[in-house]
Amino acid sequence: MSAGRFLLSCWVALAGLSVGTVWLGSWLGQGAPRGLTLLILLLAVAKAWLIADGFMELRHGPRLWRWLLLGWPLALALTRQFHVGLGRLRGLDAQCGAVAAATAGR
Amino acid sequence: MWFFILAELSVFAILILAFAVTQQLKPQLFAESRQLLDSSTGLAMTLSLLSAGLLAALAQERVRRGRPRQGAALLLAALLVATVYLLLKLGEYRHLLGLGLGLEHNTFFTLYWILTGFHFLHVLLGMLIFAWLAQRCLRGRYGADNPSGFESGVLYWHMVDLVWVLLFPLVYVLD
Repeated sequence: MSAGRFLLSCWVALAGLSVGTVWLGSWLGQGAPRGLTLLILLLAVAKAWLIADGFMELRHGPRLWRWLLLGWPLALALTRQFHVGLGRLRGLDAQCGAVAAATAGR
Repeated sequence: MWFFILAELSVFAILILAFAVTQQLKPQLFAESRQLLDSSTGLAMTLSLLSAGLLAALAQERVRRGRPRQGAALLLAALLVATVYLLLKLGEYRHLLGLGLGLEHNTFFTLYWILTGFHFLHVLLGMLIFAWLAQRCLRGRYGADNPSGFESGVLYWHMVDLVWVLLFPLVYVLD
């Protein structure tokens, strides 16, 4: 595949993933499945990887720089999801505390 | 150039995480405030930035093949496409300011203005770099033998794109 065609393929994939992000986002808050947020984040990571490996040509670059650039979006997405999970656990914990207090009050 | 990119990505990572963590602390406020943003405008901005990135990458290919004039033309096309982002973003900023949703309106908009404003400044710098690279290409300063300065400029733009693809779902899409 020529370099021009390869770059064009990257762009088509990036555009498709961007449209997909907005389309999936329109389902949020309408009884959407739980994993939808994670899926949208994974699409963002895939886009970042396409830019790093395709446009920035890191697929041919030094391994350390490649993994640093590929790791950056993944670390951000995972940290965000970890924080979301932590928030849910705290909410659950507070609910359990309220139920226990109500039970003890009876 | 790679060290500079890594430093820039670290600063953006701190801002993006600050946004994500604050969203968890104030989910209701963030969900309500986000509804005042238009995700289709965000999508148009994304496509504009990515298209400029494609044209810049194609320009780089031409310069490496010893065709700097074609490279300059492609870079000017990239500049034109990036202007679409610029106009859309300025339109969005004007719209929000018209509604009184400035930096001090609430936590969401404080972080929105800091995060997108910082990125906006990077896009402006990227466009200036494109213009500078294009005029140097036309003067024959870059070619198959010495493309490295050109490559560094284009790399900077891809970094701006890389940040945006993470920033876009976080600010415009995710609840």
